[in-house]
Amino acid sequence: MRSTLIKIIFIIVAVATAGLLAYFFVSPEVDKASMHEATINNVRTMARLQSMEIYDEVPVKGSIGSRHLVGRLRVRGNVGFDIDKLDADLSADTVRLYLPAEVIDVYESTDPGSYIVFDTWNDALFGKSNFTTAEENSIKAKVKANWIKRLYANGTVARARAEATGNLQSMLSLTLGKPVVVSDSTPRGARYKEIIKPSK
Amino acid sequence: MRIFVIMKHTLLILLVAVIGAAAGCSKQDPSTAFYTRLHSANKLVFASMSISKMATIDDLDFEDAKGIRQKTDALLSSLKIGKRKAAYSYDTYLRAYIDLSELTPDDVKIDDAAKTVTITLPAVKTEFAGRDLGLREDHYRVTGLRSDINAQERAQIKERMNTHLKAEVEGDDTFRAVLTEQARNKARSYFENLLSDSGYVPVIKFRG
Repeated sequence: MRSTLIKIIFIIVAVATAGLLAYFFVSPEVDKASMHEATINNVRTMARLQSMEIYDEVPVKGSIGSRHLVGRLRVRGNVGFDIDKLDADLSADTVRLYLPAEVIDVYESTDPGSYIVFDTWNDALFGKSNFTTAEENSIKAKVKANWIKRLYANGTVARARAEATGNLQSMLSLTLGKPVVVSDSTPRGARYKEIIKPSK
Repeated sequence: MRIFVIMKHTLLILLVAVIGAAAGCSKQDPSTAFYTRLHSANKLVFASMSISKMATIDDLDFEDAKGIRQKTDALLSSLKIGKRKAAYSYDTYLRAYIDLSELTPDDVKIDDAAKTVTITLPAVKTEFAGRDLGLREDHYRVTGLRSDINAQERAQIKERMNTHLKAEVEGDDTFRAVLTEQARNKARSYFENLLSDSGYVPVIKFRG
């Protein structure tokens, strides 16, 4: 009699616990973040010839004091040229102009999972491992600067300039109906010397 | 002896329930293949739009909580010492362009009699250019014994903001319509200026 009673109590407790757990997990999740409506900041008009698009996955590694951060970032970059005001005599029989300085845009991709933080830690035993938003932004700014430097060093900017020279020549020749010659006075990039400092 | 058998069976039921519930709510890994890509483009970008997105972090109020999970969390949060509030924002960029590889000699027509040159430009397209690398911290207040908002949490919030924003843009034509209109106006004025000294009156049209 007693053992039967205990058996029944155990079964009731087990089923009740299982039911409560199931109800707990199927109920709405806790969401501490509230999304606000997106708003248009501004619309800028331009005439920018874009000759190269780059998608890249780069490691994010930074240290501030004894704290370290490691993550992964998907970058989307473009190399373009502002051609709104061309320094050329468009009424000449043969139009001659120089390719303007490159404009490099670097963004975080809007694809899912573009920025992931794998780990943050402190070398000190009881030290805090947290990074503030400003510190994390500064680490990402360095990642961006290094990535741009790599574009100059590995010839991506040079290739973009070569493509743009050809594309601009074709577009202007077609539109103006006359020969157009586009030259490039800085084939490695207008900012090459500034970005790639010569090693001593 | 019988009691131990009963207890063993009871524990088994509980274990199955826990595993089943955990499996039901386990997150799927969104593993996507990704590789470095470098490709030539021949786009003429005429307009760029920056869209701001904000998210706030705060404890759930008991009155607003729905379901046992939220109510449990709201109750536990009310017992914690301190507050945990933050607001973050960043900008995403949408751009409008024409693909110059779609521009052919047939799209440029000269009428010597009427002294006009008609250029039919490819249709203006829009795409996401990307989003800011950094995050703006518009407000941050973590007090008492509450834990700081860390880099992993910020990355997850940004991911959710991204998903939310893309759904908003796809669901509301206003964003793309405003951008496309500005791009078309700029394209028109650009090519009109380009051809202003040609001796012909430029007529700019768009395909599509």
